[in-house]
Amino acid sequence: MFNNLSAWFTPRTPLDKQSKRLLTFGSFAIPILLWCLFSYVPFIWHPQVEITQPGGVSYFREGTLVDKEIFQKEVDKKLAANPDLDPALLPQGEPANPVYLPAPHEVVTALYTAFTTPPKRNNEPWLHESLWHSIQVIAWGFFWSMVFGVPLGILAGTYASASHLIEPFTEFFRYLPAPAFGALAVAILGIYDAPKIAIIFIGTFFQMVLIVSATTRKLNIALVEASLTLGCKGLRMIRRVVLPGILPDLYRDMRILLGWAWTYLIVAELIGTSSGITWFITQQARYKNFDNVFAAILIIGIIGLITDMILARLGKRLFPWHTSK
Amino acid sequence: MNSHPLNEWITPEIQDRNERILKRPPVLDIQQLHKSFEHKGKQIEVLRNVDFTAYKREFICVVGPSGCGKSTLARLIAGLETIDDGSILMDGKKVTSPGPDRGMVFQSYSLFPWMTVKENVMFGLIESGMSKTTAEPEALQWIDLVGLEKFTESYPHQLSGGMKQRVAIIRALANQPKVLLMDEPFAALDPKNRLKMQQYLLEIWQNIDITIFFITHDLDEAIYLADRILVLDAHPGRVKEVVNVPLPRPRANDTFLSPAFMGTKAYLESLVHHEEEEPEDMEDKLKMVRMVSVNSDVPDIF
Repeated sequence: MFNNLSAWFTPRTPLDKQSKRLLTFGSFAIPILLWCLFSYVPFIWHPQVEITQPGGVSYFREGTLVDKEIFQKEVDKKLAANPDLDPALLPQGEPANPVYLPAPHEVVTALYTAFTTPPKRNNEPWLHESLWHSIQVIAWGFFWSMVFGVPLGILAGTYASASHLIEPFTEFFRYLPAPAFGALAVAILGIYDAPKIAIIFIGTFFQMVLIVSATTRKLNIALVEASLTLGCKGLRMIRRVVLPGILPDLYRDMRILLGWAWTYLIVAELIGTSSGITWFITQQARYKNFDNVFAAILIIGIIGLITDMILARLGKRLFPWHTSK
Repeated sequence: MNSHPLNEWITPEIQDRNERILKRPPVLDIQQLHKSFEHKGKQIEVLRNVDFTAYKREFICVVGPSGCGKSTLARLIAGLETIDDGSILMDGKKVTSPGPDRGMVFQSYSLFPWMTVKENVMFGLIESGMSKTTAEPEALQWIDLVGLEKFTESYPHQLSGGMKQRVAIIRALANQPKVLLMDEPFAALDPKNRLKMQQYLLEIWQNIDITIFFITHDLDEAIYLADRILVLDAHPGRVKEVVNVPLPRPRANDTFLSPAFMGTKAYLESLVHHEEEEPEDMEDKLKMVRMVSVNSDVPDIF
């Protein structure tokens, strides 16, 4: 079946289609399988007991989760008090996982029900509204980063003078954690979306300047020199040669940075009035609906993966000359 | 002059042609040129006191050992490096920055990968203020000239190395520069393609008004192409000699085998390689490769 299995273990060797598919499948299947094992096989982990029959213990209720040791202690107590007790009257229960590890099927159901369940209070948003809010915050934060970060990065990558003016400070600011500006952002920009957008901006902008300048510097210098000898210089050269020259790499950089923006989103949304998908997650965790929490986290992952795949496909179409690399 | 070893091949026709070239107006005048680079805090002198004049429609080749600054010389003329001392005059005007009067073809492929062949050739024309509608037929003419009509709409990555350099040449020529600087443009090509490209280049050069300043480390290439060869010395780069090539134009097909060609090559070799390290310790290294004692009795493969 895998006549070139040896390719799996040869460094930097492309795989055949079948192996590629199998491994991609496995990359998702293995973690899911592990999750299933922990959830459905009773003797793996399952540190708690879900009570099916209280058996006269005062604080046992049907459906409550207690630690295994406590359950055993209560059973032993009952037996010590009355050794001849009918085993059917003893407290009984099934091995269970803690509430924070819902089983796969519960999360899958939650993926659907989270969207259909109305919010607890009238003024609270539905899940899709929260999500849309998050996406808007990310989009604005990332947009402003790009508006300032890309031109500055290109300038720094093209001119040594711009690089010396821009990069040292950027390099310093990059080490200041964006969430640390939370309190400041709220003080200046209020409690609604503005400080959240600012956090995403701070989190991505400085990285973007440095990454774009590095990408610009990787542009084949012969292209720049050729354009100079052809009579094209200055800003016109940047527009006609540098920008199209780095565009495919720039596009890839933006894809990577967009992933970072999602990371900062979660912190940003806790600032001021909690909002968006993070608000949904904290709220559900408060109600101990951990299946919904998992569902929300998965949704973020799925949105991220899908945008990235769409952007990757689009990139191939937009830059047909880039396939040669 | 009579004692020069190449004089025996200089026929009256060649002599006449050479003299006529020197009477043409000078296009490129390099005067007392100095250039040094800073490397790890040390000043390294690359070019010292370079004096040279190229005349209208002349084909100049520059050869020299590695480190003689021949690429730097081309880049200085192009205006891609700053001049430390001395000056470079183009038609009497000082060179300070890159300009469309000096086209350049680089060793590495420098076509814009996001543009088709046609757009690449049109680039310089549009930069010089031509409208798209006039630039396009002009570009197509150039593409026809080098036989790439079929590849007008292709992207550079779809072309072979030789085709890419042909496009690079016409892209530079389309701007109608006075001087075409070429920095080892065919070094990456295989020998067969290289010869073809050299023939192409000569043909183009004969048909248009252009002075070519061609950097190479391949002596055959230099002799085949040039009217005069500028031989540089290394560390620092200085003019060693300017050699008149004693071959008639147009070049004959068997010119590579002619005694004049071989004699010129032997002479150039003596100029270029005379002070390079002799491979005397090669023998010792070979013995190490054999991994046997130097004194043991091993039959020689020769």
